[in-house]
Amino acid sequence: MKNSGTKLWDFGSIPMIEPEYLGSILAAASDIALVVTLKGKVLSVLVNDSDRSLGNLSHWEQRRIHDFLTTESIPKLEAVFSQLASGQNVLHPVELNHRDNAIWQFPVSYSIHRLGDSDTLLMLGRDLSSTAETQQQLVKAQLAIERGYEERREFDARYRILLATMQEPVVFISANDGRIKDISAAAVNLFSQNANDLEGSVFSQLFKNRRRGEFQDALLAISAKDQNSEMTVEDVKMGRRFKIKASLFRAAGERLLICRLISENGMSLKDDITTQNLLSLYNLGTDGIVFTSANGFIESANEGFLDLINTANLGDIKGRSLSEFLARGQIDLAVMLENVTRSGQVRVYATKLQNAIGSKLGVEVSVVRLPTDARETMAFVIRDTNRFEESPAPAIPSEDFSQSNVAELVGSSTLREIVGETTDMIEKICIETAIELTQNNRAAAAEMLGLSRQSLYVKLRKFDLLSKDRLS
Amino acid sequence: MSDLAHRVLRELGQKAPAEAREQIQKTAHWLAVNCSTPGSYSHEAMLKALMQKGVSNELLIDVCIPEAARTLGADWNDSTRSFGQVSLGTVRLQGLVQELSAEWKFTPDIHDQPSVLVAICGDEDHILGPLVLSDQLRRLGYSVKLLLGATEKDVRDNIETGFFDMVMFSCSSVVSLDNVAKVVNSVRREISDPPILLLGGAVLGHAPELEKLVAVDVIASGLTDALEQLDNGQVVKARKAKVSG
Repeated sequence: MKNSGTKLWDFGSIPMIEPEYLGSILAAASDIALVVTLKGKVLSVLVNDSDRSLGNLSHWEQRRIHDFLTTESIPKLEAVFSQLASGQNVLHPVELNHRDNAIWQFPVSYSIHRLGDSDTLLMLGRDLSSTAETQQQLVKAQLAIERGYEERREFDARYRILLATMQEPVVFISANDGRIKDISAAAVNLFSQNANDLEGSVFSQLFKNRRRGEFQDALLAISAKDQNSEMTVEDVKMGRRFKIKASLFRAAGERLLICRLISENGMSLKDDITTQNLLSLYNLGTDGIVFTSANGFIESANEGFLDLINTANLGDIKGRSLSEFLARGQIDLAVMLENVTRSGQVRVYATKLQNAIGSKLGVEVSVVRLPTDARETMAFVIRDTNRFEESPAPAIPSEDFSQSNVAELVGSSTLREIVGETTDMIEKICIETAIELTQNNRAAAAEMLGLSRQSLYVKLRKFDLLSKDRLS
Repeated sequence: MSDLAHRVLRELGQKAPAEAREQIQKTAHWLAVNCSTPGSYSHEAMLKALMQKGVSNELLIDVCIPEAARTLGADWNDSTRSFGQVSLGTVRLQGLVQELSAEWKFTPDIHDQPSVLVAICGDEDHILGPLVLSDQLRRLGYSVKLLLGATEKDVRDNIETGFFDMVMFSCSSVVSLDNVAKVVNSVRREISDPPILLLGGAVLGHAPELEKLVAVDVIASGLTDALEQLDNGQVVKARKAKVSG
């Protein structure tokens, strides 16, 4: 009966519950109900009778709840106890992992309430074991996927090593679109191109007077005949003639052609040793090598360069201006291209590379203009200079020496004078460097320094740098 | 004065770009939020969006993804994320590591290439750390075999047939430490001259005096720590002490 004397419940009101019924109501409303003190002592444990999975937990009573929690759950519960002890309520559910012996763990989501003004708490828990089991299945599925990846990695390693070491030039072609799916290192060397450029490209484009469709039909035709069938082709770059033998096979539903390239006299094809060495240098060298068009747009770059700019794929930078990766952008590129166009080469140009997120790296660049039949190509060799910076350069005094100089300065002049003179000195060094880098091109130097040409002249006069003799 | 000016310029030049650090932090937070949000999740869309962040794969694996996983763990501690969300997020982060990992490259000279067996024993289900570790080792030129759910026999068989220089055991909790201890004891008992045995993982923060619980040669808090200990000869000294002791 309600206090008001009516027998029916009004909306939102709670009836008086006799203490002997309260326990069974709490146990039924939650999977596990605990009464604990603020210090963590378990006074009472009620487990829902309809769910036997938690078993008998009566041995928790009179012991600390901490004894039945995993390591990571203890500080979490401590934080909640502190919050409640300071008079605050905990409105969100608190997930705790229980352990009842070395192996058995079960997660429970609790809502925690103070029981009146005493230091006693009521913890109503919802057993999350079934959710945890689903999560375990998810984790197991992920583990199975990871194992699959590892196994595939082993097979992949064997396949890759085969392609990398076999002497015979072999190319895998998609029978549907005639594009190269994979290529052996020997075939890459034969065509004198980057493997990444070749993969995905149309195979017929490597040969003179071959249209894709017609070439594809011819390959399928010889693959359908006996094993000795072959077709003769001529390499578009070097004009070499050789034969192709093709076999058709299916892999996971896709039709693929494996094409073996052999010389006209049936001997295995070999490229000359210098080409091989140069390609190895390009592929394995630690210095960045970049080929650009005459106006600095990237045509190809090696792994060394991709490492320097922290980029994974050549495709991400191909066709972009090299200036995007130089700290001084277009100014750097213009200075180098101007000099290389004038004299054919730039021996050493010091600047910084920057990657997509703005990290900068000190480099030395040399540039050569490569005369080719159709158009000009610029070759940039870029070397990381950061490793040299660790050893003190002779021109720059050691840290200790500088420190002692600073000690001498302090006291002999005021701070304002020291800062003023140092600022002047920094300005002078920067201007001298800009003039040197741009080979006395004052418009470019002003742009590099972010000054107007007029301001640059004022400063050149101030530091007595106007005379050409001083700058040469 | 000129020296001072040079020093000022040199120090300015060496200053790490703040934008880069900020971008990494933002990406880690973005990963934590997007990987743990229940509902439709497209792995491909996630990868595409991630690529547009302008952070290299190496930084994503080494810094952003572990940081995102730590954020998820901290959120569980603060009760702001449920363990379901944390599990979901972690599995998704693992998928990303696999996707972003370095591809296997052919190394012409494998004779000096060190090899490592990364073992995760028994029912241990925290595998994000070992996945990251394996990728880092592979990038450093190590040949790595990752053994998941390893039993005593699996580890012994691999050591006997694999010519490993080191076995790295990854362990996340005190509960799964028992499994590692059993496997290590079995290796010590059955194999006369085993490779260096190393223990790492989140368990380092949970259990004191680990060296008394597991008979490994090295306990390292991370890859850098492990490599430093191996480089400066501490491991060799420890192994000698064990043999003579």
